[in-house]
Amino acid sequence: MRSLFAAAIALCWFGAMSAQNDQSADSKERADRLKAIQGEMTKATTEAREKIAELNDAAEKRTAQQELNRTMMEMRPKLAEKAMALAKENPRDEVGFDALIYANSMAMGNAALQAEARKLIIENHLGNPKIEDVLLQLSRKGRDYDVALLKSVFEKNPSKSVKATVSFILAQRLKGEADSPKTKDADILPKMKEALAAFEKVSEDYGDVTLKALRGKVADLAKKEIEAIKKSPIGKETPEIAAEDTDGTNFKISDYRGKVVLLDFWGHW
Amino acid sequence: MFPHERSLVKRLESKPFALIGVNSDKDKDDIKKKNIEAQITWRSFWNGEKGTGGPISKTWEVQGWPTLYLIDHKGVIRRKFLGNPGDADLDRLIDELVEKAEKDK
Repeated sequence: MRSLFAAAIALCWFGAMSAQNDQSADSKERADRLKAIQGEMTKATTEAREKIAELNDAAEKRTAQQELNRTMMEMRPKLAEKAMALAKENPRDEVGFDALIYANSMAMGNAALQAEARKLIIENHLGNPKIEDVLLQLSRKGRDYDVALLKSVFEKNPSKSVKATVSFILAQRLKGEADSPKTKDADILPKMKEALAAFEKVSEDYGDVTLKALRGKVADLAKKEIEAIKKSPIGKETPEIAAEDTDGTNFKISDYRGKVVLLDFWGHW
Repeated sequence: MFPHERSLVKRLESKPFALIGVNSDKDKDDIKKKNIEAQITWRSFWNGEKGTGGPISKTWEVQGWPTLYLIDHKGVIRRKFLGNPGDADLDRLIDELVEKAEKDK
């Protein structure tokens, strides 16, 4: 009886082992295929690139570059679809995730495919630390951010740098609201205060974390934002400008007191 | 941005409103010619020969072009926009301030 039990356990163990082996063999095979898909672009364009580098004539160079760009633009949607098909075989594991990210990045202009990739990433990978690389793009919602999505990434993801990225994006969003032309006059200063507190908090919690998406250390990035908020001119007296106009006549901005002034820093360039 | 600014100036001609530029082109002689071409009728300070590195934008700590400030009739800065805030919103915000300026007269 005892030996039968042991045998049963051994069998289970063996079964589990071989299933795991199967799985890793399967994922390795898919990883290789993904690598091949990702390598297609480089493979197809290396020769053209080298040729362009050797060209001396500017016009020829431009034509060749345009030709190359066209080839790449034509390849992108095809590569996106290949990667998407691969991702769908198993969207849950790491290879699936990598394939989804690649498909998403190649699918520019193909909104349906991008939406599909986005959906699968959200369903399966909110807790994946690698989500950091696509978080900015993933959480965009028109001109705003998808706050609910960001908050659930924050909850589900164990990675400190992912949490830091989410917190920083949310702080930036608050600042964006304070700066928005849609915001009511009375709400500007409170929103700025809120943004200031959010940046101070993110700096306190994650100051030493480097944000890949924003290319910098949280403490440094937050410091810049905090200084900008503290120096905000909203609600302050207009500093005098006394200078010549573009015709060479001197005038002052205070000459216009009593009028509403739209001051536009511009150039023809 | 120019076409909308032109229509703003025209629409608010008789109102307490002024559009003032801080032109940040380096070559002053060139500005006149280009102003005529682009039908720019409003007055601009000149930011000097350092262009975008000139003294006025430095004092105002302008980080990008265009940057717009909306100043009320009392000389208080009410809004700052990096980039075009959109015609409709800009019109609305200016109109609100112009209305207040007229009431205070």
